[in-house]
Amino acid sequence: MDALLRQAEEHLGIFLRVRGRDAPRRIHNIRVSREWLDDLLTLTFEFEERRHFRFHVSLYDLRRSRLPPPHIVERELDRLHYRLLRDHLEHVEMRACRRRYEAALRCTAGPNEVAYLRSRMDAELEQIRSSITRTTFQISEDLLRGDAYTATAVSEQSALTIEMMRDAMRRMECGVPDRDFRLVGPDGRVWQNERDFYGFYAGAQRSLFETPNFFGIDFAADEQAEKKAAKLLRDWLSPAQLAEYERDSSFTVTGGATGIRYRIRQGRQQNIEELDAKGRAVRVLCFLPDGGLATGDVMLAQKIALETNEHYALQVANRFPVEPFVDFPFDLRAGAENYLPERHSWMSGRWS
Amino acid sequence: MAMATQIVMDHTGDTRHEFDPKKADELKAAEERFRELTGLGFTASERIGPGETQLLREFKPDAQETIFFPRLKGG
Repeated sequence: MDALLRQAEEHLGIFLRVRGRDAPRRIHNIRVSREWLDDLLTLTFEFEERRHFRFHVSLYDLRRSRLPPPHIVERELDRLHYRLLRDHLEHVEMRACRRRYEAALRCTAGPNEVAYLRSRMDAELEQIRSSITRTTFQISEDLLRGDAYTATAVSEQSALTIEMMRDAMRRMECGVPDRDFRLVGPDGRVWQNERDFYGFYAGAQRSLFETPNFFGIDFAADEQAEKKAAKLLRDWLSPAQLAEYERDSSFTVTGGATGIRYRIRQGRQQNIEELDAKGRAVRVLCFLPDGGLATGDVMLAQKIALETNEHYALQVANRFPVEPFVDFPFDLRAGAENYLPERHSWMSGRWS
Repeated sequence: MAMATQIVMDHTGDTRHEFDPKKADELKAAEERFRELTGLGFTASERIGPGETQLLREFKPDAQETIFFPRLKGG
């Protein structure tokens, strides 16, 4: 574990020094906790000088990383940490890269340009994969200056925010009209239909590096689009589905190929539950149409896809467990095996 | 036969294109739109009853309401 901590110190030190910051002295612990409302792990590095550094890891990526079973010993935890670190970096960097190219591809119609952009994207992804040892955390000064528990944790979303803003700026500079978007601050403030990308970009930079706040950014359909989409959804639901939807804000569809039933909840992502014969959710599915559509449109597309093209929908869908995946928080140094019972299949390689 | 509609989901909610299937030029434009959208990865489905749809892989001239949504992706 000491070796792991020294490695972590080295990573953070490089990251901070290239930004003209003091490097942390010694990390004395790493804690893992689970965000109870979403699918994220939070790793917190605790420094001797009472500084803290946190980053988030998607459980989805964690499950895909095929972690080594079965006995949880320190050596395994070291490996676990390295996988977490690597997966997190890959997740952040590669997703940001994909998003950049996807934005460009949406503005490109010519087959040659599309092929060129795709080949460039593949090359860049490969480059990222091969040089993933670099640390690219987006970190707030505040996190290093004070008590992390009163500061806002910086998540991968921050990195995406900056990337998306840069992308928006590029699109604007190229004269490409962009959709309306909204910014959501951690305090819940929302700026919608704002077109001053430069102002937002500057604000986000200040937010990231001078205050504890950071922004989430989401391409959003405007209110009018949401209303239109909600009406369209209602028009295309069966009478039974409509009654169910108005009662529960969710409705049930039957897979056209398998006969399996699914519940589509109000929402755009991770809002589909696969049901068993007794109507209990057995897993959560996530797929949606590309293009930042309004919620009603997304739900209608999900319904039609499951009813008419179920195999394809299942092929593209990501799957998530219904049950919490492990009982966090636990301390990596405090005998974690006590907290990781056998039934949690991610540790025994039975994740489905 | 009444006017037919192609409904394309987009960031405004949807955009509707009405056409008269009896008019050859409008029908041709609708067919071209169908090919263009499906070529871009859109899925086309025809409404065949209340809450019932069927997937369209080819343009269907007598479809009264066809809905198009963009390519699906994992979320």
